Amino acid sequence: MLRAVRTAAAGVLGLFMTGWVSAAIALCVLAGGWALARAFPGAAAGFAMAGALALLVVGEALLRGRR
Amino acid sequence: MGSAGWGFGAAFLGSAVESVEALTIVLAVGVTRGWRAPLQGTLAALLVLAALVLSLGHVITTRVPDSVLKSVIGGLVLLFGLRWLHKAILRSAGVLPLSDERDRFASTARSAGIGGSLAGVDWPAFALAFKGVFLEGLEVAFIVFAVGATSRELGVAGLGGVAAMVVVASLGVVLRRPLTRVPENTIKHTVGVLLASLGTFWAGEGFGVRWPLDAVSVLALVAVYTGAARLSVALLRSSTRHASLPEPA
Repeated sequence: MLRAVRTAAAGVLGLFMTGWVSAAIALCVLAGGWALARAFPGAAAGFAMAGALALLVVGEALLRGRR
Repeated sequence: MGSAGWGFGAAFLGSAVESVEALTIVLAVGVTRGWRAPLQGTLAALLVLAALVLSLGHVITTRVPDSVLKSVIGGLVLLFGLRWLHKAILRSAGVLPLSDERDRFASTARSAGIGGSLAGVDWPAFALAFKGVFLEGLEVAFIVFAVGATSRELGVAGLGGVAAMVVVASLGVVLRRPLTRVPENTIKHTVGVLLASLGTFWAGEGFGVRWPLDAVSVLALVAVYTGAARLSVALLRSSTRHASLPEPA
């Protein structure tokens, strides 16, 4: 039972810990989006956030492909 | 399409991928050691998961403010979607091998061949099925909970998750072999784009972004992430081709 709980906990953690650098960058982008939305509450902040995240998707894939 | 439709679709597709993985494990154990213990393990895991979703889902959806919930859950859904999208891109471009349910079936069947029964219960078969269904089910539960809590449609998202499990389980009963023909990477790619888009939309709403035409903006976000994914695959394929060309003399 203890083993199953430990495996489950590792699974949940693993869900969020893989690619933690890109997850941290994504969180920074979200924080930037939040600050931008405070200053400009229109749609621009949302689409700027999406654009930055899309660039992150491309950049992360290219970096992984080179390794 | 309203938020209920988006919620059902996202929960259904996400849950279908995880259900295929769980079903492969249960089938491998059942074929190798008989059906009673793996079905008991599956039932036990489903009961634990249902209790988790119902208890946590109710507390959080009734006590946490809407903007906080949308920001946090939207952010988590986004991270989840980006992770899936990243893997799907690498697999589509040939950097990672495609996930093969036949390999998973064979390796689980090898694991199930070890150990014996105690007190009339085949514990290794029970544990393998429980572990497989519980771990894959946790991901289903997370998707259902995140989609349902953020759109305030926990029931609809739950229905999407349960419908996916029923459809996949029915296919498993009919086929009685791993679902090797399910294009897992295509589904993962689609769900990754959908979750990243919904996550961005909900996080934005939580931050105070006023999206034009409300939920219709999700389509624009889907276009942005699909474009990024296609560009990534094209760039990766071209760099792989260049790397495999012989050096000029």
